[in-house]
Amino acid sequence: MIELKNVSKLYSVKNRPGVSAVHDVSLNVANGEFVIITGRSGSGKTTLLNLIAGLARPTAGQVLLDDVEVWKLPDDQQALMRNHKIGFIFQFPSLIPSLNVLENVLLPTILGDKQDKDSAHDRAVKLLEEVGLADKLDSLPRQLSAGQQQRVVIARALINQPELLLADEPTSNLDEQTEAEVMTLLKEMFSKKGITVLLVTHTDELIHYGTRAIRMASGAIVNPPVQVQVTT
Amino acid sequence: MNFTRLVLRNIERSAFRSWIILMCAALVAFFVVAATLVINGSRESMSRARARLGADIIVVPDGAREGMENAFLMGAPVSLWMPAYVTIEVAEIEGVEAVSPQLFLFTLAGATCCAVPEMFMVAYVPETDFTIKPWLLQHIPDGLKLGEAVGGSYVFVPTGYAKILIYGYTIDLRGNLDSTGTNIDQTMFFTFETADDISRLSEFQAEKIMEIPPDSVSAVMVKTNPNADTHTIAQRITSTIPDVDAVESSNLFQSQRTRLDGIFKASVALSGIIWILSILLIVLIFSIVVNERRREIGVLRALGARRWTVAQSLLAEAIVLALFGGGVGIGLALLGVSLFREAIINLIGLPFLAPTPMSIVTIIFEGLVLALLTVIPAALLPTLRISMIEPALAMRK
Ligand SMILES: Nc1ncnc2c1ncn2[C@@H]1O[C@H](COP(=O)(O)OP(=O)(O)O)[C@@H](O)[C@H]1O
Ligand SMILES: [Mg+2]
Repeated sequence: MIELKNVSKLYSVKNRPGVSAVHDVSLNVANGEFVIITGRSGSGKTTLLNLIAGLARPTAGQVLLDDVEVWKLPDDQQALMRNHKIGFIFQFPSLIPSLNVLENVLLPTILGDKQDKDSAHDRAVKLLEEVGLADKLDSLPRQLSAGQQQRVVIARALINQPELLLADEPTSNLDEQTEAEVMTLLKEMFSKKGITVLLVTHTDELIHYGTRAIRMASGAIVNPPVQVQVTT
Repeated sequence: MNFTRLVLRNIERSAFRSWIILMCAALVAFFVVAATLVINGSRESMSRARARLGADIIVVPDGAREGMENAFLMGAPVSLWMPAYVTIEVAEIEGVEAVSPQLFLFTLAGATCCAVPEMFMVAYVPETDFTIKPWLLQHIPDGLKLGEAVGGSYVFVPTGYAKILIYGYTIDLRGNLDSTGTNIDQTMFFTFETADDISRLSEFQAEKIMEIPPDSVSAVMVKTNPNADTHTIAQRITSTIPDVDAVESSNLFQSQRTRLDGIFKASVALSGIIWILSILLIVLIFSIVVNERRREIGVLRALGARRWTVAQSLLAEAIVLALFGGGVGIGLALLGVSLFREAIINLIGLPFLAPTPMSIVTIIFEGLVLALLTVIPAALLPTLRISMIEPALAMRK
């Protein structure tokens, strides 16, 4: 499903040598994998996810999603591809503050081209039930706890029934208990919906949730890969 | 949940800044629409006054030119007279075909006879007149007699009365003039004999005496021979007759037109300044708004918004604010100009006609276009910058 071929991303900073955020990374992820990417802050994890999603243009190498090179597509098709295929969970609060929970979850459905309002609404309500927020449809994001907000983000990520879920440190703002709850929820969704997941975390504690773990350091993937015991 | 809702929510969210943008659009629209209303109305007023004059040359006492023009335009009273025999002298000038004198009398405030707050009185000679007659709606076969008058379209006999009462004097309204859209509409015309009679009787019947100078006229209306050159005749009049000025109707309202030109130029300059300042302010505010939503815009792109969709939502926000602001500005301008009409006329010293319904539609349209032309270019720059940016960069703090 995902294929990276010698991908590099160089950020040029004024008057200084460029920062090589990701350097010569090759990676294959198959359908149905739950890949955990670990690494210290600044090791290039976010950049790697952005490259996969077409949110950042690689300075070198190729990024292929289902054998299609993302950056060869025009902007509107890139956008559609993200809209249809990829669900995002961000590290920072990413709900639109002026929209309520239900509207936030529905947001990706109005950005794409396939619009069936009724079924989108039904799916959103069902997803919000699944993440345990059935009673918060009309709440505004600021009325929710950090954990609840992240659950809404998960529902939003899944609303267009994506094949791939990209999660960038989804639990870094949460306490331990909430973190476990959110991770369990993600794992549940992974098993139930049969999607491929790439999850970034800066601690090794979460790698047991995945089916494979990758460690990054200084923009590169560290070999040999970490061995993971699959828990399910 | 749809696109419109997202736009409206965003407007609400940055309420204060939305207000500023709206006010900028309103200010520009208000100023330009108000200036247009006054300047166009004034131009129209002058061109109508000139067109309805019907004289090729007007002879007035030396130094009374501007006063006379004001009398024609605004009904302002003139206190310069010339001897009545000037009429005969003018008639004898070569190339003059017809002459008829007029005496601009006084302005009546709060008269019961009129649909307007002020009424003007003019004495004329119906037998020789050629400027008022063409506007008369009724044919008066026996001519105007003592105590009779014709009035502009706003002049009427109050209901319940048979006659009009001025200065304690009762006047029979024999006819009305066609609507001209000028001060003629609120002017009453009667004979010199009637004027003398009102003046004489006002001593006994009125609270205030109406004084008129004996054997005087304010102006002599001149019709020239169509084959003769008006300019030459005017020069001939001033060189032959002492202490008079001959105003060619084509030169009429010269000083007013100059003043209007000045007002026009000042308005254009001021509008330009307001416009540019508004644009700068909107650019600044929109940049702040966009910058604040930088991360959110990155998120939208990640969720599948095209560049164009992002730009569209921001521009839609700007357009909504421009239209609302423009609407408010136009509304206030229309209201203000009609409410403070008298004050504006006094301020600029020029009359202006109320716009026709058709020109109001045009003005509303122009005002809205202008509001859009203020907000959209200003919003465009920050909008394009943020929508062209790589989403990954937008999401970085
Ligand atoms: N837009 C950017 N401009 C300059 N440097 C950047 C930019 N984005 C990321 N970097 C740098 O690239 C490196 C990797 O960043 P990132 O992918 O965010 O790491 P991580 O997510 O693992 O913390 C860091 O050194 C970071 O400072
Ligand atoms: Mg990161």
